[in-house]
Order: sequence, then structure tokens, then C-alpha cells
Amino acid sequence: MHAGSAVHELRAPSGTAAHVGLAMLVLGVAARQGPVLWMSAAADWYPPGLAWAGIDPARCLFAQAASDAEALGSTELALRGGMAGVVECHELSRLAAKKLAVAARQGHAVGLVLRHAPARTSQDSTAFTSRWMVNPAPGSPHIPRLQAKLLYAKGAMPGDYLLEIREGQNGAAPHIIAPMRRAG
Amino acid sequence: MAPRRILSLQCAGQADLAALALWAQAYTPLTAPDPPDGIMLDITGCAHLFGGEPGLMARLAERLPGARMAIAGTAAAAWGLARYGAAGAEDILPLPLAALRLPVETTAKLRKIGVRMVGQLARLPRAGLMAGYGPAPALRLAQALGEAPEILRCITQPPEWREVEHHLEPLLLPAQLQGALTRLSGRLCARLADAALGARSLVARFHRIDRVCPEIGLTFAAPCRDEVQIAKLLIEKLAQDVDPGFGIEALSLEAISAEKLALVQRDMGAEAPDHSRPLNTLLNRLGGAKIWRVTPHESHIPEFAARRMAVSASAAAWPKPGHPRPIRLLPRPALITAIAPVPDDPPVQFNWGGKMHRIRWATGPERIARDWWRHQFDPTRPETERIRDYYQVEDMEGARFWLFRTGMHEGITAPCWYLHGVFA
Repeated sequence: MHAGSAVHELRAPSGTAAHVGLAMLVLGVAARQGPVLWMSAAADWYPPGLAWAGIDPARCLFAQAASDAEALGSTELALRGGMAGVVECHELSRLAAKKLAVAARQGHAVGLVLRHAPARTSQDSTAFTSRWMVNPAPGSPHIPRLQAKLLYAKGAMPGDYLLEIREGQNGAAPHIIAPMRRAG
Repeated sequence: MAPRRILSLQCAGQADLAALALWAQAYTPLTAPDPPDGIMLDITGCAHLFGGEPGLMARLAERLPGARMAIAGTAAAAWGLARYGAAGAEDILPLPLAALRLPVETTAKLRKIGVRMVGQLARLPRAGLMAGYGPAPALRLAQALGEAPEILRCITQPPEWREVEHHLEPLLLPAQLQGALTRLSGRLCARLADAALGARSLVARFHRIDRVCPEIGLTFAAPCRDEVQIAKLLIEKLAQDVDPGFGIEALSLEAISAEKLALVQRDMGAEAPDHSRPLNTLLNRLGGAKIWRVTPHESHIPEFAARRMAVSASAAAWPKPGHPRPIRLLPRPALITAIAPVPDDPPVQFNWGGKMHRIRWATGPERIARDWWRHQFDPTRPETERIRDYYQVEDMEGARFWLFRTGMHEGITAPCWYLHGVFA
């Protein structure tokens, strides 16, 4: 998975935060240093939780947007400036997706769009480098597992992956991608 | 050094003298409200920009109909001349004693000995005057004659990094204002670059002809002297923050605080990434309250473990939490209905958001007590007042939640279950 200077869309069923888990894994691989913008309407990211998963909250910036349009516009600006961006939104038009992808390519930054959405919607765009559907998978108390279904990727076969989040190890990303196995 | 010239302006019916003084900064950077009914302008070295002192007075009289004003070498003399002098007079000696702004009793006492004019007072011996009538008459006279200093309380510091543009014909169109802002930011940034400084916060003021002074403030996360960015941010805010009214006759752009910003040489090689540019834009677009960094705070209470701080502050190192922590923490714990087979045990199922979750496993309890000596009592949130037993639970689908229970079985209060966070 080549994650740098690209935008990935991560979806999860509503009521779960599984896509945030995959977002932290991707950040551990693709944005090892530099600021990360966390953008959402709710602003309920919990920094100790980020620290537990190995993302240093000291390099994170948190922002609250009044609307999806403001969230996506601000993230676009951050990506164009070279900052990594994680944005949570409800609706995503094809135009907004295209603009985000262009901004990430210009700024050589990694962007992650988190959504609570079904695996297939009428506005699915191919502007992003990959699109994932992330479900929580049964795990153990200290090793949560995620089941990530690759819905779309440029130059890659779709498939199911099982991922594990290990306590505070995501800085050493290869260790965490290693247990990822193709399940289907 | 040019002699000081002070203009005193009396204008009845102005409720907010500070606002009037701010507006008058279009003419000179040093203005002071002068209660109860006027303002003082230190116009030293400024009058020639408006056609000399008569031209400046004519222009002010046009904007403020009914105002009386006078220019003199000292503030006390200007005050007296504005209120009691003939137009254009410079000499305070023929004025009545009231022109010295003395207390009423003192004036009455001096009147009894036949002193009615300032000139008569000036002829009296100072030592005797001090002994008989207190320090006030001698001091005010000395201040009026420029022998003793008088403090003017100007509304802003003498600005170092300020650029002003005056327009004889008031500006009304957005394009005109945008052009003026671009020119001003270019001039200010050139001066800042010469001094190797960057602006930390900026304010642009728009002096309207009808004595109103709207302004746009910018703050930066890192020192900035990028004229293109500054102009762009100002122009973005222009439409919503500034109403040109009947026209804007002067614009000023001032760096309120400036910090060292080294000059960098651009070369052909790869440059180190500089994130201050997008950060400054985001900070000004969203506003300072909508974007923040976090700093750890020593508290076991989950909602107090992180504090917000400004983007410009430097980040502190984060400790690794000893226990798993959720990735999202609900701003207010949600009350849930849970079924626990044994009292004081983790639940086997709970209901949240209209959905039933059967629990596969649970870890805990992690008991957290309120540190009552540090936080205010909040009567609207009873759950914050009690000991909480936290459990990390996973439902049959694999979703992980952070639940807590307050109250004990057969305790003073019945146990209540809350959902506080969602794990990744």
C-alpha cells in the first residue's frame, strides 16, 4: 500500500470508530512526522486514546468545523500546505473528492476521509487512491482487531484484510502491518 | 526636533469618546479621549499631510459639525483655547480663568482677590500662589505655558509598524479597498523584512467619514511577513466585517506585535517543509476558538486529562496512558440501560442509541474517583460527583465501548450505567 501524497476514504458502520483505528495505522506508516490536522464537526477526539495507539498528540492539531463544506475546505488547505489531514464528514460529493485528491498531490501529503456510510453510495468517486470499509472484528482487550475491506484501489485487487492495533507500537509501522493478512 | 503641536477638540453629544479617538487615528497615531466632552490629538509632524494646521482643522470641522477645536504647543493651552478662545488664537493669557480647568472653588477664591484672567494669574508670584491657593493653579499655569509636563493617556502605544493610506475621495468599492490593502501589506512587509521581523498579530482599520472605524484583526500561529498571504486573508474578511458606509477616507494596517523572523535564502534544493503558512490561514479562517492543540493535564478524570491550548503555543510531551483509552470521548456521558447478572459486575448487555449490544468480554473495573478539591461542583451532572467504575467492553460484532457505573448495589444511590467513549 503506497499511502503518501494521496487521499484514502475510510468508512465504518455508524456507532463504531473502527475507521479511526485504520486511520491511525495509515498515519503511522505515511505521516511519521509533521503536524496532523484532525477535523470534525463534533471535536470529540480523545488525545490519550491517540497516545495509546502510538500517535503523538503533541503534533496533532484539532479543529471543529461548522459544516461539511468548511471541514473539507480547511482540510484541502492543510493538505496543499503539506500537513497530513484527517477529516470526518457526512456527505462527500465527487467534486469535493477530486479537489482533496489534487490538494494532497500538490502538497505531497496524506489525507484520510472518515465517514459513517454504507459500502456503496451513489456519489462514489474514483478520485481517491483507495476506499475501505472498516468493521470492528472480535479481538482481545489489549489487541483490538479490525476487519478492513478494500472496496476500491488504484492498481490493486480488492480484498479483505485483518488488522491489529498493538499498544503504542504504531510508530514502528512495519511491525503492525506484518500481522495484516489477506482473508479473502 | 519639531515643537509639539496638540489639537484639542470639543464635541458635544459624543457618547463614546474612545471610539471617537480611535476614528481620529486617521489623522495622527496618538489620540487620547479627554473626558467629559472631547479628545486630544498629538498632531506633531502630521498636519502637513492634510494641508497644514488650517487644512486639518477644516477637514475635522467638516466631519464633526459643531465641534470646537484649537491647536497649541501644550495640551492645557489647547484645551483652554478650544473652549474659551477666539478662532485661530494662540495666546492663553487673555482667556478667563476657567480656561485653566481649575476646580470651581479655586476659581471662586481667586476671583475674590480680583484675578479673572490667566494673564493676571501669571503675574502673581508663584510661591505665594502655592501657599495661598494650593498647588493646582500654579501647576495648571505651568502646564499651559509648557513649563511642566502633562500626561496624555493615548489609547494605543506609539505604533512602530503602521502603514496608513489616505484618500481625498472616499473609497466605496470592494476593488478599491482590496487594492489599498494589497499596497499596505506590501509596504508593511517590506519594512518588516528590512528589520528581519514577522508580524504575530495585525489589525487593519478602516476610518469612515462618518466617525465609525470598523477593523479586521489577524493573528498568526507563527510570525508572518508574507504580503500575499496577509493581503489574501484581509480581503477574505473584508466582505463580512467591513461596511464602507458613506465611504472610507483612510486605511491603516498595523502590526500589533512583531517577532524575530530570520531571512531565508531560497535555493534550488529541497526545502524543509514549512507548515506555518497553512496554519496561519486556517487559524484566521476558522477563528482561534475553533482550532487548538492539546496539552496533558494531571488528572485521573478522563474528561480533564487533556486541556486545549492555542495553536501558537509549543506542544508538551505526552505520557503513555497506563490503560487503554478510547479514541472518541463523548462530551457528556450517555445514560444507558444495562443488564448485569450480578450486582457490581460488568453488564452482559446494554442498549445505546436504540440498538442492543450483547457483550462478548469486558475488562475492569478501573475505579476513578472524583478529585473534588480541584473542580467545581456541577449540580446538572450527577455522574461526575461519584466514584466511577470503568469497563472496556466488546460486543458480539467486535465494537468496543468504554462504560462506567456510578453508585453501588445497596448503596446510597442506585447504580447507573453510562457510555463514555468508543474505542477504535
